[in-house]
This record gives sequence, C-alpha cells and structure tokens, in this order.
Amino acid sequence: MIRKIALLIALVSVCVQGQELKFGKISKEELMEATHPKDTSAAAAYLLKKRESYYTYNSAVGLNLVTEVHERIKIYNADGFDYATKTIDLYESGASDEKATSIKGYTYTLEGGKVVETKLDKGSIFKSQQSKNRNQVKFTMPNVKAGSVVEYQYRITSPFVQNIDEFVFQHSIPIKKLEAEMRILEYFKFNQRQKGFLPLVPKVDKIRDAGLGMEVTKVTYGLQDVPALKDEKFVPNITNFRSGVTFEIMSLEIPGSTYDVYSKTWDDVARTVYENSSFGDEMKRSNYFEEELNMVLQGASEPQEKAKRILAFVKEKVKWNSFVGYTSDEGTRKAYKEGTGNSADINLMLVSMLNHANIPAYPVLVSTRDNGIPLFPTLQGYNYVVAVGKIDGEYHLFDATNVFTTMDVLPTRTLNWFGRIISENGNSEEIDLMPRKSSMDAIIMTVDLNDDGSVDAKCRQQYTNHNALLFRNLYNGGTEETFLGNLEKELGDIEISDYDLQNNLDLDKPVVQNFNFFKEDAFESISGKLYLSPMFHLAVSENPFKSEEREYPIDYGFPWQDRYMITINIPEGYKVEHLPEPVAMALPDNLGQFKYNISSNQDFINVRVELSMNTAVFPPNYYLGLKEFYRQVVEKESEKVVLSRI
Amino acid sequence: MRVLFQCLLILSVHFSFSQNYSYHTIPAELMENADAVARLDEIDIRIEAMDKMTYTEKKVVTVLNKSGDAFARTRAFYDKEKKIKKIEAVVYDASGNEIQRIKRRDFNDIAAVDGFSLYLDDRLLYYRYVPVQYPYTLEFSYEVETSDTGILPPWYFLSGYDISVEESRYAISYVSNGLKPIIEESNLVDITVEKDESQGKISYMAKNIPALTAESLSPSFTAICPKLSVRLPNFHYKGFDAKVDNWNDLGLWIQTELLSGRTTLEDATIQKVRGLVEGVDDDIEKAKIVYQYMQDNTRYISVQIGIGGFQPISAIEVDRVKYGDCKGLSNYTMALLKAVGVESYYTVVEAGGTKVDFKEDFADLSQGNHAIVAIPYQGEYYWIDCTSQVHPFGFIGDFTDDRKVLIVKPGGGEIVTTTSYVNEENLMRMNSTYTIQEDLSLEADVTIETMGVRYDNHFGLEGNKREDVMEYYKNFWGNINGLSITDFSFENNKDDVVFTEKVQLKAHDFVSKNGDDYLLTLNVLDNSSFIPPRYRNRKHSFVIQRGYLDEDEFTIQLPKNFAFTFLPEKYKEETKFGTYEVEVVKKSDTELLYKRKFLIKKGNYPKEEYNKYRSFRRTIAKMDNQKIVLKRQDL
Repeated sequence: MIRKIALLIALVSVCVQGQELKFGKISKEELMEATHPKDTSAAAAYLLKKRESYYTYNSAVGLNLVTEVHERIKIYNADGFDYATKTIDLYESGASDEKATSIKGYTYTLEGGKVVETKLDKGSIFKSQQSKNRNQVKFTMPNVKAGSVVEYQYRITSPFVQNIDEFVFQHSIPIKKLEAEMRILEYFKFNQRQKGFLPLVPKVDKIRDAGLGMEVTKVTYGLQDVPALKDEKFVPNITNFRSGVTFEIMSLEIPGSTYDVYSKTWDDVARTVYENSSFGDEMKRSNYFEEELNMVLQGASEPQEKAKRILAFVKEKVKWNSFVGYTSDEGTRKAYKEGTGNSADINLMLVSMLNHANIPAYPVLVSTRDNGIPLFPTLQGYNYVVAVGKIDGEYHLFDATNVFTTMDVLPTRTLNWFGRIISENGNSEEIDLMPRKSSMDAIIMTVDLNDDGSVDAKCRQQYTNHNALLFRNLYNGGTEETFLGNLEKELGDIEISDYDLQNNLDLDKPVVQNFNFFKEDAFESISGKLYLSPMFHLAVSENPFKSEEREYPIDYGFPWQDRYMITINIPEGYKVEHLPEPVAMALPDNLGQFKYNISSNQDFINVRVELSMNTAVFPPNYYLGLKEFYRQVVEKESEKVVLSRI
Repeated sequence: MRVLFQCLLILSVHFSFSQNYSYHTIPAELMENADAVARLDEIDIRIEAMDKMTYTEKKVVTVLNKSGDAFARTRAFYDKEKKIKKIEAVVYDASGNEIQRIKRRDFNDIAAVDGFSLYLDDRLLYYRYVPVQYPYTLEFSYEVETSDTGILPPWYFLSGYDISVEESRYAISYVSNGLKPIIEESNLVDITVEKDESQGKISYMAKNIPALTAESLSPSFTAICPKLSVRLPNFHYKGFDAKVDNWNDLGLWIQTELLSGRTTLEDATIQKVRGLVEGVDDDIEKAKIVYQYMQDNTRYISVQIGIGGFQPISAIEVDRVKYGDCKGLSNYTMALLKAVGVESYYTVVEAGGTKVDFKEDFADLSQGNHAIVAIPYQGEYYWIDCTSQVHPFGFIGDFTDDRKVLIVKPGGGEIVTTTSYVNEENLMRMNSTYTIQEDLSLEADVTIETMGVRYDNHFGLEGNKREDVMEYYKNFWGNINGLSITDFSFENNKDDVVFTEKVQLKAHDFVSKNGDDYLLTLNVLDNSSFIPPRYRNRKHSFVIQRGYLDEDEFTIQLPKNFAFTFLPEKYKEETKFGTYEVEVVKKSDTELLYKRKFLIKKGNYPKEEYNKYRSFRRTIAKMDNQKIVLKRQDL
C-alpha cells in the first residue's frame, strides 16, 4: 500500500518536473523557433504564463493575498514588441495599498549561435501614481529583437484579501503552457466561475499550507496551446468570450466571529446587494422628494401616465455624471439636491418614486456592455442598475440616466443579455434586457429626375424606439448646422433644404424629419436610355460581413426594421423599359426578412423595400446565412430601372 | 433721498448684470455656428527673472450644447519646475447665477498620459464637471509659477473651431529690457485687435470674434487661427541657461548643452559596426548598412523625464537596452555613423501628415515634436527616421516630408527643407487583365505598383496577417459585391522604393442584368468616387498637400456570346488642379483595353477656386463609373 502511493507521487512529480519551465532556463529551441507552430500569424506567444495566488498571515500586517506571476514570451516579429512591455495596475485605498515587488526579468537573444542574456535594469522600472486610488508599475524589457524570448516574474502583495483578480486564460496571442494556482483558506467559502469556450477542468486538493499552518483548498489549472482570441465586428466586448476563471469570496467563517455572506447563488448576490446600505436603504428614502413629486403627479391616475411623469421628473432633476455602479455614490438625497449622480443614485431614486406612486418597482442589476456578460453569480458580475416597474401585470424597464430614454427603450450600454430583478428581502429573478420591440426607420421619398442627371427629392423619415433614442442623442449633441452637414455627407453628398424636425422632445411620439434634397449625378444616361438605381442613396451598397467565418454572435443591440417607400416620377418623353423583379426572402427561423417590390404606371414607379432583423443577437451559426442574405440584398438593391424614350 | 436710493439700486443691478455671465447677453453674431462662446479668455504673464515666470489664466466659457463641453475643460498641467499656485472653477446657470464652486481640493491629481509613452513625469490637476443643463457658463482660473522660461504659452485668440470669443486679453510684463519678449503675430488681420505697449508691458485685446467652421481641405487650424507666438531671447529651461537670437544660436545651444558627449559607444560596438562596413567606401552605402543594423536591433519606446523631453538618452544606454525614443534612436544612429566615419546631423522636425514648417525668423523650443537624422552627401541631404524598423533608407514618407526643419550642426542650427514627394512621384500604377465569365462573374489578376507616399500607404501590408490582408482588399474594393480574394503576393523593392502587389480576385454576378441590357462597369478597380463636400459659402482657401498620379491599364475579356453596342468616347480634361484622361479601345469583338490617367497636383488655391475643383472631381467620379451595355447574342 505504502509503496503504491510512493510510486504514484513519484510519477506525478516526474511528470510535473518534466514539464516545468524554470525561470532563467531557456532552451535554444525556444530561441530558434521562427513562427508559432500552430498559428503562423502570431506576432508573439506566451511560452509560459504562470500565476499563483495564496494567502499569508503575519501578526504585524494581518492577512495578505499574494500573487506570484511568471511569464515567458516569445517575440516572433516586430509586431510582437508590445508584449515586451508590462503594465501592472495596483490599487490603493487610504493607508492600504497593493505592492509589486521582486520584479526580475531577462531578455534572451540568439546572436551568432550564442545565447545572450540581458537583465532588466531596476532603473528602467517606472512606478507612478495614476490617480488617488491607482498606482502603476511599468517596464519594458531590454535588447528585444525579432526572435527574442523575454521572461519576467514579480509578486503582488495585497491587503484587499477579498478581491482576487480574474485568472485570464486567453489573450490576443497564443499561450503554449498555462499554469494557474489558487490557494484559499479553509475559513473562506468561495465561488469559482469559469467563462469562455475552452474546456476547463480544475484539479482540487486539500493541502496543509506550511506558512499559514492551516488547511487550504488548492485549485490548479493546467492548459496547453490556448489559441489567440481574435476580434470580430459586431461583437461589443470581446472579453466576454475570453476564457478565464474568477474566484469570489462568498463568506468568511472564522470560528467565533460573525458570518458574512457575500455571494453564492444569484439569490445570495441579490441579498448581499440588497443589504448593502447604499443600495437597499437608498430605495426606502422618500421624504426628500415627496412634496415635489406629489405636485408632478397631480391629476395622473393611470400607472402608465404616472410612470412617464416620474421618468421625466427624475431626468429633469438629476443628470448622470457618467459613473456607473449599482450602489449609490453619495446618496440619492444628495444627488437630488445637487442635480448629478451615478447610475444608482438616479435609478434607485426612480425605483422609490415609482413605489411612492403605487407602481410596484424594483431595481434591476445590469452588467453594461463594457463590463461583459454576467455568466455566473458574483458581485463583480454587475456594475449598473436600472429600474423595473410592474404596470398592468407586466414588467417594464426604465433608465433615467439619459434624457431621451422611454419605457423599455434603454441606453445601448444596458442592452446586455439578462439582468436581475431584486425584490424586498433580497429575492430575485432574471429579466431579459434585450429589446423585443423592433425599432423602425421608415422613409417615404418622392424623387424627380432632372435632365442633367441630378435629382430633386422630398423625404420624410420616421424613427421609433431605439432608433429614435440614437437619433435624438445625435441631433441634440451639437448645432443643427453640424448635424445637417454630417447628414449630407452620410447620405452621399446630397444638399438638404427645408429641414424640419418634429417631436424632438416629445418622447411619446416617433421622431420625424422632413427635408428636401438635391443630388448631383444620381443616375446615368447611356445612349439615350436612363439607368437608375431606384433606391438611390438608400440602397445597401456594401456587405458589412467580410470574413469567411465567425466564432462569436452578431450583436445588433435591438431588433430593427427599415421600411422605404419611394415614388419616382417618370420624366416626360420616357417610358419604363425594364424594372427589377420583385423578391422576398427570409433568414432561417424567420430571424430576418427582405422584401423588395416594384411596380410602375405611365407616370411613376413605386418601390417598397423592407429589411428587418427580428432579433437583437444572432448566434454565430447564422453567420454564413446572414452573409449570403446580405450579398443578395446588395445585389438586388444595385439593380437598375431602365427608362427609354417613347 | 428715496429717489437716489432707487437709482443706486438700478445701477447696482445693472452693474452685477454686466459682471455676471448671463447667456442672454451674448451678441447674436457670436452664436452662429458656435457650440460655445468664450466670454473672457485672459492671460497675464509676468517675467520676473530669467528663471522665474508666473502667469494667471482665466477662461470663462458659456457652453451652448454637448459638443461645446470640450471647450470648458478644467485642467492644468504641472511638473517638477512648474507649480500650480491657485486653481478654481465656478459654474453659472444660463442667467448667470452661481450654481457650483470647485475648490483646489476638489481637483484630481493624476499622471499625464500621452497614449504612447512608457513613462512621463508630467502631471495634471483636473476636475470633470457634469453639466446639468445647457447652456451653462464655466469660469476657470489658475496661477502658475515656473523656472522654465524657454517655452512661453502661445496665445490663440480662438481656441478651436465652433467657438466664438467675446473678449480675449493677452498681457506680458517683464522687469528688465533683457527679459523683453519677442512676439510674432499671425493672422491678426482677420480680427480687430488693440495692442498696447508701454515700458515693461505689452498687451493685446480683441473683442467679438465669430466662430470658425472646419472645412475640408482647408489649411490646418494653427495656420489660419489668429495667434501670438512668444519667446524670450534669454531664457532658462530645466536647469539650463540660453541666449538665443536665431536658429544658429538655438542649434548651437542644443549641440553644446544637450547633445555633446552623448555619442560615446563601447569599443565592442564600434568594432562591430566597423566590421559590418568593411570593404565599403561610399558614405551612403555605409550609412545604409548602419541604418539597417539599427532597424534590426532596436525598437521605439518613449520615456520622458525632465530635460529628457529635449535631450536624448546616451548612445551607450540605447546600445545596452536596444530601445529609445526618437531622440535616443537618432542620437544612437549618429553615434554608429560616427564610428564608421560618416557625418550626420541631429534634426528636429514637426512631424505629422500635415506639413508644418519651422518659422525661419522665430527661433524657439516650442517648435518640433520629433527627431530625425540628416546625412550630408554630395551637396544634398539624405533623411532617415530612426523610429521605424521598416522604412527604406532615405525614405521618410508623409510623416516628415517637404517641410522646414532644424538641423543641428557643430557650428550651430540651420533651417533646411526635407525631401518632398509630390505629383507624379506619388504614383500608383494598376495593371489588370480581367475576364467576364459566361455566368457573368468576374475573374481578375491585378498588379499594383506604388511609389512615393503611395508606397508609404501600401507597403505596410507586407507585415500584416493573411486574414487582415484579405479584409483590407475587401474594403479596398468594397464597391465590388460578392468579392473574394483568391491569392496575393507582395514584392518590396526597398532600393528603388517600389511596392508591388499581385492580387487574384473573383466576384460573382459582376455584370448586372437589367431587362435585355447587361451593364458592365468598366473601371471597378481604381475608381475615384471622392467628391469634396459642398459649402454654401466657403470661407478658407484649400490645400492639396502632395498630389498624386494614377496610371491604369485594364484588358477586359468579354464572354463570346456577348456583344457591346457602343463604347464611350475618349475623354480628357486638363485643369490647374490636374489632368484626367480615359480611353476605351476596341481590340476585338470580345476584348477591350481601358486606359486611365489621373494626375492631381500639389498646390494652394484660393477659396474661389474650390467649386471648380469640386466640379473636376465630380466629373472624375462620374467618368470612373462609366458603364457599357452588353447584349446577349445567342438568344
């Protein structure tokens, strides 16, 4: 029995030793490798990316979280030089700060068949205070050339024992060998959550930590040949798909001390947030706004009308300071008084006002697009809060951080998969944040063809929902002259006149712009015939999808529908010789549609085109279908009407 | 008594009204095209000694809309020599009532970042104000004391496009004649300025300057903006004293104080480069070898500390770490050249796509943002940029071309113009044979040769990943629907500075069927659809900085069962802006030769010519889009 165990241990350790890459032990093969064997386009690659995090205890300083990092990077060519520079961000709060120590590094280069080592000089390590809470240590490796291997190690000691940085397992360059180890005290109950597309299987052991003199849980990950993470279009935040592991401390169970739950399940997350005084308590306050709000609500009886007035009232009272967060910064009362606040100040205030008006309302935890998708229940998973109100038995979302939002039409940053509704006593449920209602862009246009190839046209364009929100943000961001100047450029060098905008500030209604325009060289005359694209500048002229394949979803943010009705007056002396064929097509599962209809009589040509996407997000398996769909749209819309002389 | 009291009250009301910054008092002409109005823009500079200057700046800006927020920044930079003595901001609502006061302790103290440096020692105090309504007015004032008098704040009567100015005041005072500043006025004729000069003080004041609007192709803002450039002939900078009357003096100062003694190298390195050039006699051939060695062995990393903003790190240090910024790499290359007996000069230049000249009669440290090296050879200069690992020797591209720069010679500074790349020199030659298949798809072999700045725009493709190159071509020929790239290869001739791309492409349904007519666009490969934007009332002159030439020849093979009805006539247009020529020649019933030549010439043109230029470009866009009608023969 004893012999068997000894054998097993020996085997494992041999295996580990056989693979271990020791600091400073560089092989000639590593230096001679000209390109990455599995990804020849890689400009650099991690030969080793190793991280160990563990706790230390010392009676003078208490508990610390220590992270040791060892990275070895092969630089294949000059584009990979950026990987020879390392930035370490460190947090500081009051008297406590994170420190980076024991920084050591070497560059290895093959010169005339010999390995030349160059040491990272202490004087070339720069520490700077970036802001009140943020320090930075930065260095770049010396003597780096195409073909070099750089290697460095350092240690971060942190007094913020609950904040364990994400273990990142994927970068924009490949990783040949990855080792990650986290050792957590037995007193800490923790969550570990994985994300990304790589299969991740940790090895979990209970071991005795000699330094601490107590049991710890050791979680290790070992990965080989992690492919590079590649950026693609219509992916709002690529880090959502980056593989990695997050550890979050849920509770501290030190014998004899109180028991703090941090998080475990979504309900626990919700309860923890709810019990945070700058969250739960902020919603209970109402005395500061009661008087003014009652005035605002006078005469309103329908919940829908009340909600609308409350949303408008909050937007008028408090402006967003562009800070995100799900907890109140300085308190809703102060935000109300001073007129600015973060997302929580504003939307928690909204929740309590809705409740005050007898509309059952709750906060909804949201992860913004920049923050990534909240795949697992952790506190860091969320960074924003919006409001939800129950009106006639249905949930409706509200966000007062932007002046032009309406019920269920929220800023793009919040359109990110699912949010979590938190009700009293911390119960919670999931809510879909992706809009269901389609946003319309409807155009009615009448076009006159002039003899010289130019056109005069009248255009009426109407936007609803998210399209209206985006339009209003754009239009109201600067002067009308600038807006029109940009619009003229965007629509292909047209000249706009008699511009008129309706419902700019009347958010209940679609925003409508009316204008006339003149465009030169809008159609062609070839040997007596006129050739014209019946959609003019409205035609989709280029396929947005260019890559051969795609790994990530295509994210439009919201479903949309473009509807164009175009009437072309036939110039005197001409008749229609040819019209394109009408066509209708759809994407699988009816997720997208294209309808193209065209007809004519003696006096005019009528064109009706509808292009719609019925979902906000397409899974990647729809990519090739979508690309082909667009190819056909571009082809159809480029077809010409032929007019000839009578 | 009672009457008098009322009178006083009215007066005082009136007084406080004109003191505060109500939005309603802004003259209508200042609201035109403006996102913001500077109600008062004021600086008061006091030169107290060669190494002591204090200045107070006050900006009061009424912001009319969100785009105007950028004009109401509340930030001030400082460093080791420059201290911020006072800083404060006050916010007023539309009627001029104070709504918030921002004290020094409210400002954040942060490290400055330039987006490319590894480390900078500059810092700034800043406060981010969140507007709660528009319009609002922000009053920002601060006072600075510094021992650096080598760079004086310039004065812009307009701080950018889309802002108008109600009142702008500049004042500089000095305690002795030796500290009297030299002031260069630019573009002041466009505004009304009152200048006042008395013993020990010079001041300027301008009122009611309307906003400027950005126009395509106009000269750069700094070239058209009314401004003052100010310098002291005797100054102190980061611990160094200087007396500068002209560029010769400033060059000499840079040479003796900042450069001398910094080109020392280890013997081993000297031996190594000497070994590399063994058997080579010609200085330029030696320089090419040295430049290649430097390119292969170093990279660009910027670290800026103190005088390090002007002084290169020593060659010996660059040799050890094998990196440096533009100054460090230039100085290192000069040291290597010196080791092999080639003379070279350190050169300061204002780099960027827009050409900016050093001002010949105004020598100061504020000009220039980059360093390159000049190598004299048989009466001319070869220029090299040592921050690039890929550019050919002697080729500086559109980053530092054709502009006045300062070269630092042992005897002093000189202003010299760098190599220019203009007109025909910026050639793109495209040759292609393309075949229309019977299924109406396109197959083409294309060869693109680029020279001059066109080379600079294309040769970077060589280092790109395969999928990025594919994507590049799909965008380059974004006008071709259903395009796929079958293959490509490159040849980079660094000696002659010619880059050659060979591309094979396909596109299905290339010829569109419209009834019985099949429309074939003759030129989809090099089609110039750019038309400069239209202005109802153009305000500024326009500039074509470099000019270029396109030469295209396409052989078009038609499928046998198609015939064309007519071919467009040969067309040629010659204007002062350039020449455009296009011709389609029938080679056989199924083969056409398309020839196109398009030259745009470098030049500065008055605003009155803009519409002519625009109409020239319109014609080209139209002609480049010419189609012919094909008819099927087998039906």
